[in-house]
Amino acid sequence: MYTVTAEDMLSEIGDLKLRLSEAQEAIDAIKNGSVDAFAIRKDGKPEVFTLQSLDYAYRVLIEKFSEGALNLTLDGLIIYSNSYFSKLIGIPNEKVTGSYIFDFISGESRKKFQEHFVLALKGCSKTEITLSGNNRDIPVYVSLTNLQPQLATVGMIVTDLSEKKLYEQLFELHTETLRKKNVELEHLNKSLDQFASIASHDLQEPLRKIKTFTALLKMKANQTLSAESNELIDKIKRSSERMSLLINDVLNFSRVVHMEDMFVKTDLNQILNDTLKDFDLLILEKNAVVSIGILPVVDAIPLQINQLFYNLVGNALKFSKIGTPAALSISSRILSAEENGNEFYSKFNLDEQLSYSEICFKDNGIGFEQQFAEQIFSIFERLNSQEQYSGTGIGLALCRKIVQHHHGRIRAEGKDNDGAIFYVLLPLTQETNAASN
Amino acid sequence: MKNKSKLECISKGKIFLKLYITGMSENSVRAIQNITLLCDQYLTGRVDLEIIDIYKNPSVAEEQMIVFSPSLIRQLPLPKKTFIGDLSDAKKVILGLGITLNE
Amino acid sequence: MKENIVILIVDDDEDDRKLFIESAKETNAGITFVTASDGQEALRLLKDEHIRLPDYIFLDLRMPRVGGRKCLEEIGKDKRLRDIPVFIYTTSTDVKDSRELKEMGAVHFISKPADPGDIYYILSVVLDEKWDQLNKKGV
Repeated sequence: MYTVTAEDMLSEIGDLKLRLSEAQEAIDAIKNGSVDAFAIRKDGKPEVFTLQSLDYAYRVLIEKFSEGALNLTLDGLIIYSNSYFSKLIGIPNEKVTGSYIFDFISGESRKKFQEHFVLALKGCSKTEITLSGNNRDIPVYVSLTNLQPQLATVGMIVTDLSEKKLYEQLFELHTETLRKKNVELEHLNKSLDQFASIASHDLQEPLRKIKTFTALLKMKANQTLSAESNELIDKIKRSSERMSLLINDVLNFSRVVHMEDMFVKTDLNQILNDTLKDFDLLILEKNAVVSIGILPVVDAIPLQINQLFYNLVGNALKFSKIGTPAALSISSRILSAEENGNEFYSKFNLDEQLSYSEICFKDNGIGFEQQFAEQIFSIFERLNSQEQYSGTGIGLALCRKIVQHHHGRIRAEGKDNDGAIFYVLLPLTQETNAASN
Repeated sequence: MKNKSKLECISKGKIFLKLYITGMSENSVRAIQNITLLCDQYLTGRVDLEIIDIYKNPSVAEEQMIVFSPSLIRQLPLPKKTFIGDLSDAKKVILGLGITLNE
Repeated sequence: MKENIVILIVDDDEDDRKLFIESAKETNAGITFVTASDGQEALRLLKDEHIRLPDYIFLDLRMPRVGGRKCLEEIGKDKRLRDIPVFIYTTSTDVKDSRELKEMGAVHFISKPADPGDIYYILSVVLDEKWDQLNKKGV
C-alpha cells in the first residue's frame, strides 16, 4: 500500500492537462482541414487513413506532363490515358479510354510489345516500339510497370522519339555526305598528284634539251666564240638549271599533302644522320662544325622529315659567313602542357593534350633581321638576290608546309649578320593515320 | 555510440526534428516550405530534420500511437513536442521549440 | 674496241637521235647507225633477214604506235634477236621501270643525260662491253 501525495496528484493533473490540450489541438486541426491523414495501428498493423482527397497534385502532374501516361488492365484495356497520349496518336481522349492499347501499336511492333507486356507483369520492362496514329508511324520509348498489389493494372509511360529519330537521320545524311566528299577529295588529290607528276616530267624534257644543246654548242664553238658569247651561253645554262630545280621544288611542295602517306614511328636521329651524310662534301668544304643532340622518335612521314632537315641543314651551310667556319648545332627538348605551361601552349596555339618535341637548328651564318622572321616562310620570298645566294625561294615554304602537315609549328629567330635559330615543333604522336613500325 | 553523439549534440544545442507528410498534398507542401524556412533562419547548423511520407512509411505508427500528417515532432531534446498542421504559425512553433529569438 | 659496229637507235625524238649520233662520232669508232622512230619500224628492220643485225640496240620507251616495252617483248620472243644487248634509253627516272625492264631482257636502264659528255662516256663503256661500270657512274 502506497500513499498518494498532493504533489503526485498535481503532477498527474498537469500531465493529463497536457494530453488533453494535445488531443484538442488534434481535433481542431482536423476540423479546420489542416490535417490530411493519419497513421494508426489497426489490428496490430499500421495503416493510413486519408481524411480528404489528396490526389489533386498527382493528377495535375500526370495530366500536364509532356510524356504519355496510361493505366492498363492486365488484358491491355486502357482505363486511363492522359491528354499528351491522346494528342500524340491524334485520337480524342474519350475514344482512347476503353480501347485496347494494341489497337494503337503499329503492326510491326505488336509482337515485341506483347512480349514486353508479359515481361512487365513480372515487374517492369522498357522497349522501343512504333505507334500508329496521326497518319504516321510514331517511334516511341515505352516503360511498363506492374502496379500490383496496390492496383491490378499496368502503368505505361510513353516517350516520343520522333525528334530524336529525325536528328539521327539528319546526322546519318550528313555523315554520308561527308564521306562522299572525302572520297571526292581523295580522287581530286590523286589526279592533281598525277597531273603534277606528269607536268613536271614534261616540263623537264625541253629543259634537258636546252641543257644538252647549250653544252654541245659550247663544246663545238669553244675556240671560235668570244668571251662574251661564252658568257651568254653560260647564262642560258644557269637559267635552265634553275628552272629544273624550280620544277622539282614546286613538285615537292605540291606533294606534301599526300592523302596516302601514313605517319609511322620515325627515329629523327636516323633522319638527321642521313641528311648530314648528304652534306658530307659541303661540310668539308666549309670547314663546318656540326654538333648534334639526341632527337626523339615521333609519329611522322619519314620522306617529308628528310626534306625538312635537308632544307634546314642546307640553308645553315649555304648562308654561312665568308671567312668564318660554319657552326651548326641541332638539339631538342620535350614540351608538355603541365611542364611548360598553358601560356607557352596558347602562345603557339598548341594542343594541350599532346606533348611536343622542339628541335632547334642554330647556326652562326649571315642571319636575318628579326622583322623578316615570318616573311622568309612565304613561298618564293627571298631576302638575298639570286647572284648572292642560289636557291628557288621554296625551301622554307616547303619546310613550313611539311611541319604544318605534321600538325606542328616552325618559327625563326635571327640577328642581322649574327646567325639564325630555327625552332621546329613536332607533336610526338599523331591521332589519325598513325601506324606503329 | 549513437546516443553518445546525440548527447554531445544536445550540449551544443542540436535539435532533432521529424516532419510527417502525405505526398504532395497542399498542406504537406506548405509544411515543408515552412519548416525549411524556419530551420534556415533560426537553426542553421543546429538542426537534424527528417521528412517522412506516411504513405510510404505507414510503420511510423508503430513508434507513436497515432501520427497525424502534416505534423512536426521534436524528438530531442526531451520532452517530446508535437505540432499538428502545416506550421504556418511560425511564432507558435518557435516558442514551442524553445528557440530564443536573439541569436 | 670492235670495228665496224652497227648500233640501232629507236627513238621518236629526232633531236635525241641526232645527239646520240653526234656524241658517238666523238668516240672515233667506225660505227654505223641505223635509226627507227618507233617500235614498229624497229621490229620491221630487225626482222628483215636481208639487213645485218645490229650489235647493240638503244631503245626509248615512250614512242607512238609501238612503244619500247612492246618492242622489247617482241625482241625477247625472237630467237634470232634475243641475244642482242638492248639498252633502254629513256627520260623516265622510275626505278620500278628499271627492274621490270631488266627482267624482260634489257641489259641496262639508262636515263638520258643532260650533259653530252655523259653520252660519250656511256657509249665508250658500252662499246668496251664494260656496262657494269655504268652503275658506278650512277646512270
